[in-house]
Amino acid sequence: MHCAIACALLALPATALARGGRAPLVDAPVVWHEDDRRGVAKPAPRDPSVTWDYFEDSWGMPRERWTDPVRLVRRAGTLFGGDHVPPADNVNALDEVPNSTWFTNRIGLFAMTPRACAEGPGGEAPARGAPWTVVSAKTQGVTPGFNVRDARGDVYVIKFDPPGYLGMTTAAGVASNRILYAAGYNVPVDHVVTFARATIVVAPEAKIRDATGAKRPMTEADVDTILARVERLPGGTYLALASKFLPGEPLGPFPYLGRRKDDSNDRVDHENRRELRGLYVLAAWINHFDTKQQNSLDMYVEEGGARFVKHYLIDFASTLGASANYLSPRFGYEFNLDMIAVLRRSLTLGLVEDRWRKRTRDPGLTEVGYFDSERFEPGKFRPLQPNHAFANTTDRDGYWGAKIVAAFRDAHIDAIVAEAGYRDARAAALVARVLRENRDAIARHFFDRVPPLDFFVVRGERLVFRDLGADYAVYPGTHPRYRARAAAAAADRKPDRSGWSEWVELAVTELALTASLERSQHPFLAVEVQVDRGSGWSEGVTAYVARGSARVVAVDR
Amino acid sequence: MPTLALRIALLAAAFAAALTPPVARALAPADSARTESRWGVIPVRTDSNATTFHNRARSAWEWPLFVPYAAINYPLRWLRHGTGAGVVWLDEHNVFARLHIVPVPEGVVPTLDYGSLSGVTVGANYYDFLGAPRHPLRLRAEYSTEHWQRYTGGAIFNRGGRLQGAVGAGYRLRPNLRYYGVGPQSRVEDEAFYEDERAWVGASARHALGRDGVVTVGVAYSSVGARVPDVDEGVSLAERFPGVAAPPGFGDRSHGVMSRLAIGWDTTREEGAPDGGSIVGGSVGYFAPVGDIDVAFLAYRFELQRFVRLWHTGRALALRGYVSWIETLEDEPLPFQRLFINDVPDDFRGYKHGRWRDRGITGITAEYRFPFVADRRDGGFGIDTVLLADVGQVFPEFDAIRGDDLTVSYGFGWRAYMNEHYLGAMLFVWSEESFQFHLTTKQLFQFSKEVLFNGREELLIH
Repeated sequence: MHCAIACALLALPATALARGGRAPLVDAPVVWHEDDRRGVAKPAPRDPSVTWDYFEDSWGMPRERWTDPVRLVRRAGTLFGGDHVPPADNVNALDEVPNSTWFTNRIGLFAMTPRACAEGPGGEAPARGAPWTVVSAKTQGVTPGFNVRDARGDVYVIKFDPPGYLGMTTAAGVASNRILYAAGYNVPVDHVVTFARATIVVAPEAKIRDATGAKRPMTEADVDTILARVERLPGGTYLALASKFLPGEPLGPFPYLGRRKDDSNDRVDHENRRELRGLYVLAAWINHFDTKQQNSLDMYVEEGGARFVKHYLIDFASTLGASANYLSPRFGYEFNLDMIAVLRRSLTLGLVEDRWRKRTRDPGLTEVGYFDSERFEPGKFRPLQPNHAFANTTDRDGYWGAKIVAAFRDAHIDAIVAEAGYRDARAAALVARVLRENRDAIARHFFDRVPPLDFFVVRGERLVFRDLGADYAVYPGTHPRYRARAAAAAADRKPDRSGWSEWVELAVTELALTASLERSQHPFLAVEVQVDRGSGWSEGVTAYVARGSARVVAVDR
Repeated sequence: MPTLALRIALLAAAFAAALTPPVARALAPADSARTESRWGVIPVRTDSNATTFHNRARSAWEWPLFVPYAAINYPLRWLRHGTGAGVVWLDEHNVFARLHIVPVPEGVVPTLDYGSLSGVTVGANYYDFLGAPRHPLRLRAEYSTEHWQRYTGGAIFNRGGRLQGAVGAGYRLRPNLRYYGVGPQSRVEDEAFYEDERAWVGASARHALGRDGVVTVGVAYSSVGARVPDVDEGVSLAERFPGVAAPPGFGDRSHGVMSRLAIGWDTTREEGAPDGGSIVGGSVGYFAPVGDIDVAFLAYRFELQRFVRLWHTGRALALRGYVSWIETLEDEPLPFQRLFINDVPDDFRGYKHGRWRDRGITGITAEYRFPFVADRRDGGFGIDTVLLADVGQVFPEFDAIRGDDLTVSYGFGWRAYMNEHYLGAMLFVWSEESFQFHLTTKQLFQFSKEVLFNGREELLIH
């Protein structure tokens, strides 16, 4: 009892912090660009150990998260409507992510054509005019590959599918590349390519690592050895993913915890960046279960006369049910070492079945692994090893990711899947269907937690907003009602002494702001909006309109 | 509160739209370098409209919680990070990669065991010599912190064929084996220890019977010595049972040749932890004495293992019942070192190794297994949780088997697998006498089918 009281008392500040603690309102343009492109000296390259990361991610950091008293208090505060962590640190007043070296707003905020989604970053596949010259190779691992230089002088990583699954990782890699690009992330230029052995030559200076890790000159026989492990297309040609080398100098992966101390542009701990927290939702959607830091890459680039670090996501072979190693229904549903799942199984003495164990796949569809919608639960996605940013994902972060996911309409998905080049139409249809169904599941999940009333804009004398639940037909068969109330607000967002107006029900997602607004002495007008889809009024979303400029300067969820 | 006080009117949009003419209120001067988003116009980035973001400052209420936590946690974190730095350094210097080029044959499987008497045992099984997967040779070596030793070697010919032959030899030393007297009513207070040393050499041939059956004939010579130990672990057998009280055979060696005929039926399809099928087997052996202290006897054994798949994936009930007994063919007493003791696989796991000893031993073992970590069917590493119970007793005659003398052990633990092959188990087991911790790579159920004598010591099955 005493413990409960203590927890409740401790939870109060956490709740207050979660709800309050926002920056004062100012009548100024909303920030849409992060200032992280200033010239910096080249940071030291990173090469973290995969082995150690596994233990650190699976044991070290989860242990810290579960024993951190501040986090525990905040966790208790979730019972009172708070979040288990502070809000993301790099969001603007509209709760959006400004453009940065990490993220560029695309389909979430702008209309994108299906064609633009399918084109992705827009670079070209390796040129065909002359043989591709192998400059280095990778012989270890399940899927071998090599790097080639084309006639234009561009270098590409050539990666193959695992044996027995021709087309699986290549198609999934391209599709997920396009999805993450359209979502706003920096990704490499990836294309599915086919080629004949005769179009490959080895550069005289090409090196290859042997089993001991030592380098030696590469020969044509090495290419044959690599290709001998690769399944061919019926015509005898090879199918591969060509990933263009990123511009700039590679600096190794970015960590999902902390930041690069030697990059003065990197000021926000990565676990508290909205776009990395919200990546959880995108990863859940495409079942990107291998989100370890080694599947990211920082590049030291030069743009606009300044040299700075740009952050990329790379290698999407383990997405959409594909896997570069072996297929398992567990992927995406349980960490490799998932203590919660272990405890659940232990405490229930094995009487409760893990939901992923009943997942099935059509063995005839070799281009698709375990990718389904029947058992998909958006909030229960688990990558192979815990991700620090994902562990900090709040409902607001999830909502941000979900509205990006929801912005992919059927035509976008169909265009992306077509671009991926699945050779079996049934595989393409399956992937497209699951993406559509899981998109809707994600939208429902997060829109139920954060009302999807968004994009408040003053148009003339009217405050117009969007109901994403209705726009994207997330709740079929329901007829939403809206209501709003208003209050004059000071910079601290608190209503003045007169308090809120009465609720006024709206027929559509806009409301009029009368001329009397302009005569008010208060600097801001707070307008709270709610939606009812048949199960009662939702939590409110509050937009703040500056009287001086008549623009929306902030949104609270 | 009343809306009038706010001087703000809110009207339904349709109504308002009808009343309120559109007002061309410009949000900002026209700017060609802007793009229309769902939030309206978003300006193109310039140096003046980009803002830096920073980490949020820790709240005041957090400090009283954070400081003591940090005082405890940071040293742990530094220690962890130090370890991590070491691992990274080794990784960067290709130490892990180089480990792979150490010429360790593919067929070497290290073993690690812990028992209350043996202490920690490390060892290795060596098979598939020189990378040849069908190579007949097998070797095993083990050594423990309590100086238990075991060395075996052998060869399997025509492995996998319908007619398969095997030859082998072995040596085992247990310097502190226990003796409490003979029979199901031996007292724990009479605990004494002695040194058990045994060696054997033998050959066997097995022939498949249909798909699942097998008949085996074998012959093995063995020598088993029981003597005063060199180590000092308390009261020795000679002190506890002096003179004529000492069991027959103590201080001497038993020699003899065991000829055996066995028949078995195995319908399991998985080696590590089957969830279906059964194993039935029986054998009869004739022991021809060679040494002065030995007597001829017949040894019988019957064993049934049954694996039952339960409600969900990977849940299984493993049941095992067994009985072994010796019929002497002469009136002379049997050397005590030839009697059955509770030992792997016929172990009463809540009791010390060798706690019980007699001419017969019987027991029933049940294990309920369910997944703990991941699923071995992934093709990778997996661990099952095990809840177990052992019931059994040693007996001098069949009519001496009765409920009052049954030993009961119960416990739990975990069994690890790799690619559906059993790796080992960690078990915590209790009985009315003691608690026993087992860390073992030995199986109680479903012995590896490819290991010499199906993974068993030839002597144990007599």
